[in-house]
Amino acid sequence: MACNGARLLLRNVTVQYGTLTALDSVSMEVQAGEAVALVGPSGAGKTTLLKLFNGAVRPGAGEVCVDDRVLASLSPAELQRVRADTGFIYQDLNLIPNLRVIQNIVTGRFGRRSLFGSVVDVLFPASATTRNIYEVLVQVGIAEKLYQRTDSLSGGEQQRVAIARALYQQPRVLLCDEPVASVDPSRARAVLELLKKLSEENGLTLCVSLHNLELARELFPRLVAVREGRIMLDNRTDEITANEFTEIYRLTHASNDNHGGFRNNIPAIE
Amino acid sequence: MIKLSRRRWVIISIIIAGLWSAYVLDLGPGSLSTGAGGLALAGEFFSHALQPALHYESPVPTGTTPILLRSLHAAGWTVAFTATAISLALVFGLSFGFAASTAWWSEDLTARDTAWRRILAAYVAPAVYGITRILINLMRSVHELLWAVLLLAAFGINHLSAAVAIAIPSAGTLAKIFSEMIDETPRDAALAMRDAGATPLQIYFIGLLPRALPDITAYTLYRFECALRTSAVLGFFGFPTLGFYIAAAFENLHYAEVWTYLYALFALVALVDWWSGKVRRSMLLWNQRQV
Repeated sequence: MACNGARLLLRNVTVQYGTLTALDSVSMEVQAGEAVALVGPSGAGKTTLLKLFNGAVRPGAGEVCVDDRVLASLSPAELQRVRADTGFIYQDLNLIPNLRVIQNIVTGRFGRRSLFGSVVDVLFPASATTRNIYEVLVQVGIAEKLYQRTDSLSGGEQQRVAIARALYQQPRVLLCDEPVASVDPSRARAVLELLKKLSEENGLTLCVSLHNLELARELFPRLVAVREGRIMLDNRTDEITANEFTEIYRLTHASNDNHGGFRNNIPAIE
Repeated sequence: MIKLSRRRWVIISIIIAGLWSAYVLDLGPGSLSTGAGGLALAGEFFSHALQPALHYESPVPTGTTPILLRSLHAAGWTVAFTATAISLALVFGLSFGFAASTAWWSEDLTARDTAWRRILAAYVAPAVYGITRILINLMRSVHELLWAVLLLAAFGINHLSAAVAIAIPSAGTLAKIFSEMIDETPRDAALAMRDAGATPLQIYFIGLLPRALPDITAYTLYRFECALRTSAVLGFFGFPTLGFYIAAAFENLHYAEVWTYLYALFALVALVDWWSGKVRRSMLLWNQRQV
């Protein structure tokens, strides 16, 4: 089978934005239940790589598989189903600020709801169809904020809302784009531990892009280092040598000075 | 040759255009003085500002509604026409506003894979958008009073003509503003919904519309105030709004009565202003409720 039975797979994927090559013939495979950290400087292509898996970015060349199926071969309805099974936590959260927390969370499951059903969910968020929202909020630890307006919450609390929205979606894969980039460094570890714990409890495949190499090394069993659109290294964390870590660290920070944030400014929307 | 910045050129052009139009219209300080008669009439009119009539100025047949009650009735009619017109305008404004926005079809929200979706995104949606925009502009470019003239000629003096005359341009304006408000709403949450498998319609109605709702409400309330003034003026055509009685009293030179009706109109506008302020504030505060 073209997709090797993997949950997520890239085969020789190239993505270009105009003349800029964001990803250059990248291949990787993630099995169900794995927890993978993507590390590398900003502009390395981490965000683009994650966005390939929910079809937000389409490859110029190569193949993207999700759940053992080639994304490019799916009909719009099938792609929608894949998206409904794929949670995404954005660096900028992308919540609706003037709605209540509970209303933002119900939007997570719209991929499985009709238009009428989703309007009912937003107007009557405490209805039977949305029963387990409270459990999700307990899991992320902000149950008491259920009915507050989202923009009245602190940044950290809003991030938990974004996590709760992705969990309520009941995805099989959870993709997180720099989830701790805008979080207080002292709380970054707690957020990542929470994401890992929730993924394990719910049996999710987890892919997190991270700037912080130390945290990635400590918390994730597998590291994929990306630099200038290529995969530099992809290995089990406990098999990566100290020299290799030093090399990743050096390249990450060296190229950060040259490229910092450059590719990040290009909208990765087709 | 003095080098002027572009902004200065714009300002200078505006000043020249203003002076030129004053010249063409033959405006001068003297234009307002039409002789002692005119000034006397104006003085007479304003001298009654502090003494609005509490009773009719000339004898009326017994059984005539007292003036205060009549101004209340007229105010009621004014509101009734306004409310009907704005309700109609809101329904059509929201529908046309949907069709005239790009948010429901623009390509970043639509998967363009099947042939039918490709045709929809490439031809049907832009055509609907373009035709609606033209329609909206036609509705807006004809003033309420002109619509009233047309509708009265066609259907005679009936209440629906008046309501529709106000509703048509209001609906056009609401649709234009609504579509722009929705298109200017940030798309970040909408993209998050798309990535979670939501359809463009779900995205439109839940990702974008609620976010624009406070602005939409505020603008609708503002149009309600505009429609209220228009509704009063439609009395000049014979509808029983405040304008009808203002015109009648003015023709009879009953200036104190004119002021009674004018004060009723001021009160009405102030009341609506107070109410719309309250609604707008409550929209800002509706988050305060907690479990």
